Amino acid sequence: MKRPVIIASVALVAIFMLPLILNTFHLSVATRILVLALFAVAFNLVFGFGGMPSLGHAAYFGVGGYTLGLFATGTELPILVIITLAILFGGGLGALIGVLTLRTNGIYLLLLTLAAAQALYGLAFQQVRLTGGDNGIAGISRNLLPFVTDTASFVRVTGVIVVTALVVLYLVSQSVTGLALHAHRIAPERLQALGFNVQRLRITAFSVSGAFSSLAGVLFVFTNRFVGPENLTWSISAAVMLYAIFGGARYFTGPIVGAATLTVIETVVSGVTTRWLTVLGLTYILVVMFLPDGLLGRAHTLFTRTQQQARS
Amino acid sequence: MTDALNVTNVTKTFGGLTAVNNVTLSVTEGERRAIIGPNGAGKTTLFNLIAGQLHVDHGHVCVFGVNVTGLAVHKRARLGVSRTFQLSTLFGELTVRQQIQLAVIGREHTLRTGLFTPLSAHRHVTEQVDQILATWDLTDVADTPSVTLGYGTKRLIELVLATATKPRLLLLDEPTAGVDASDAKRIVDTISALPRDITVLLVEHDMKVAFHLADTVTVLTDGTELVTDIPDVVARNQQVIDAYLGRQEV
Repeated sequence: MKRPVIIASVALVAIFMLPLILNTFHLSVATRILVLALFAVAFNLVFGFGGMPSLGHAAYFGVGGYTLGLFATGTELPILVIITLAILFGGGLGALIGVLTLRTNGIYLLLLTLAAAQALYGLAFQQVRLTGGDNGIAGISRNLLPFVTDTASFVRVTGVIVVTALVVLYLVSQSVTGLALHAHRIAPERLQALGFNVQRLRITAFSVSGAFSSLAGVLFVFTNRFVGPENLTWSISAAVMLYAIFGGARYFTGPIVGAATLTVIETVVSGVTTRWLTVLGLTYILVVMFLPDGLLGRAHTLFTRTQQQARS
Repeated sequence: MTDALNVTNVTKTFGGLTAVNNVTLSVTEGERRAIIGPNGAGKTTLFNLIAGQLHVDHGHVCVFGVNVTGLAVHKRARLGVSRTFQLSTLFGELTVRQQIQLAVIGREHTLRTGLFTPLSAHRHVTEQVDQILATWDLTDVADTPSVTLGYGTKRLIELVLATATKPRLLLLDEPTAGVDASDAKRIVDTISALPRDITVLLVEHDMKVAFHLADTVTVLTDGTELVTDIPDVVARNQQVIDAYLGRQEV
């Protein structure tokens, strides 16, 4: 219980120092990493822990973004109410998709979640009068957030929200539900025989994951000051899955490592060539071939091996 | 005494194959009942019908007087039905301790859905798990993932998990299958030492084990009950010998 508090505090201090050492461009990269890390950890609750591959997490991400976009430009609601609504919508949508996909697993679950997200994409694209269609909703000010006046304060406020959300997600991962999710991935029928309601567990997982993915979506829109159908595209769902796999889906911090590493690589590569997607594809192939358990899985193996050698 | 289990006119077909055909059996509380029969006799199907992994086509299943015919697996588990599985894959990557934690928590409805409270905060769970580990001599491997353990140990843990839920009706699916002699003896001794407030229904391939453990033996062939009686009588029953052991050429 104490260690995560220490890690969270150190992370917060580090985030608060960032504006002192980074320029505006690098600050925006850091913000992106924070937001995507939260999204990836929320996603991984369902994917790496629960063993339920979803290719539809852009739905929650986009719903969060559009909730902010629509309510911030169309109503006078206080920002904290809007963010709360976004979290509730994300959680509700997660529960709904959880219910609809209860009896599916593996590739079928992947396709159903993808279909659900694509339906929302279509909706956002076609309801031009409400969403602006392809043009999206622009001009969403970061200053709506409390304490935000400039890029530096925006990074800090985002940092506080992300770290708090990650601590809550960590608590979930350490709870009975967290353990049951691991067990669900490995042997759902056994878990049920022990008295656990597996259907309820699945719905809970999708709901919590959806709620926090939606929060990440809100922050992402603040980062870009814009929300459009691209916040709902399937490639967002694919990207978040890559983060989890790349960093190590069995670990709580795996998706954070994945999101950070891939975003840094993306930034560096994009500065050199326009062929970022080619590089991403190659990186992905290499990871699947050589790091099936992700960067952290590899690190874990190396660490245990060194320990064993030290002992013998 | 009330019955722990009543199976009434139960039938289950898979496509054209009738796996269990109009079977009726009752097991009284505290009884040790073995179900034996040749391969394909419908033992495991009957077992899954009782535990809830499969649902009956016709008939009823009652556990301690409660009709559970349409109930889901976890609801039957909460009525005190616990089972082991034939394939001991367990929860491979989880440690032995975590698996026992799940079994202990599974019987407490206030804990099962905990979302934000860390597992370690539930003191009485920790204590019970430690106690179970000590009783079964598993403290040394408590923090080892079960996937790395030997087969005999896995079969034993299978039994530990099933009993950690504090069951009233324990269903054992071939508990000694594929286990070497010394581990098998340990498992058999453990089962026979179980307190009598647990009713045990066991599917067993090994006749010696079945006859040793059971008060009563039911023989299934081709999905129907052939005979139910005490082991000595069953062992001498000519029909059983013909069906199960094959007709002896004289």
